[in-house]
Amino acid sequence: MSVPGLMFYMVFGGNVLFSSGLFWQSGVSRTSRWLEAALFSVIASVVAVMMGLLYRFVLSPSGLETITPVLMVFLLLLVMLAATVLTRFVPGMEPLSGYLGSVAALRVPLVIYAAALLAGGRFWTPATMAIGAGVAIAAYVAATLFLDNLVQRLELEPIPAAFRGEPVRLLSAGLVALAFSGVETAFFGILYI
Amino acid sequence: MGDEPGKTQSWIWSAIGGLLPLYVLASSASMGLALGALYLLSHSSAASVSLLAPARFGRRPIILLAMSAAAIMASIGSSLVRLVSPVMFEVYGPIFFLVPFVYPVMKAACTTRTDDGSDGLIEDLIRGAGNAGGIVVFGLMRELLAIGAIAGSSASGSARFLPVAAHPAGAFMLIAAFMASFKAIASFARKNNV
Repeated sequence: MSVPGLMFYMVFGGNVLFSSGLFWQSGVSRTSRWLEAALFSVIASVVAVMMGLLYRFVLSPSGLETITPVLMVFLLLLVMLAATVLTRFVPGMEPLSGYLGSVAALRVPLVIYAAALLAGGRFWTPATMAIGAGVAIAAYVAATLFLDNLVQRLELEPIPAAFRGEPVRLLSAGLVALAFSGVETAFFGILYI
Repeated sequence: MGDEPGKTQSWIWSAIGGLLPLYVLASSASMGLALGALYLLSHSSAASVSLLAPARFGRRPIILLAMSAAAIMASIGSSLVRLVSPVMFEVYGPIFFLVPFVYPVMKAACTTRTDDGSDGLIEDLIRGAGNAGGIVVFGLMRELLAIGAIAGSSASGSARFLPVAAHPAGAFMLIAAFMASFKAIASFARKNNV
């Protein structure tokens, strides 16, 4: 599996059930989700640059790659604070205040740390980081907006009772993942080892 | 908890939803074992620190400590994998680094003793062990379904039952099938008062 593919499945898998009411905070509009996705792209890029530089110039030369998670925790907390401050200036978006206290808000790092993953080791040039951020955002949008639309259409179909709700959402997610695996094989598999 | 079917079902959905990235990446028995062990280490340390740290430290420092503990355990686990199998670490290292950041581990870190006044450490540890076991079993099952063998051992030759099970798309579909089966069984039990 290519690294962009890995990022896609991490972000996609992590968000598939978020909007079905398990973790998603009620009352969040579609506009807010798009604004969040746009905000994530900025945050993901910043984190990817920071992790990439750390990994390339500090962790890898000193053979300390295994402490990456510890550095990620501190980076994550920094980004959480930055996101809290940033969202206050975006109109129409609910403030992401009280970050450390709100577990539901932890959906945000799913995108961020996947981007940071891309930055580690082999992929740290601006072009690859941009591709990584794009893949992460695409996965987030696919897991929320695309799946929401798919499930809404399927609600009109005579689906067996046992498959209604989360199972049909996961089946749809499987089909989206299958479609992405084609893109990955044809595109990312050639570009990345 | 066992007396409340709705709450139990909601907890199962939450656990599956939060662990989906690990379920998707556990495509073989060895990956399932490695991810399950790392998850168990990270989750247990996060839950222990968040629930055992003195409340006078304050909520945010305790959460920071718990998240750091989970990350340190993941680092130690990754170092062990690197010692045992450097090739596996080179290939799957980035996946191992993500274990402390999955939803259930972060939730365990954020659930401090001051939240609800209860000390549910044992319950949290058992839940973590159950989740880790689920990841291992799912990895085993996917390998068995995909190549008809576990770690190269098969009972009667190799039989490819469902090759797509080894792919991420197959993981989603398998979980959907499990969820649907669980719902059907629960519905049947409710109707027949089992």
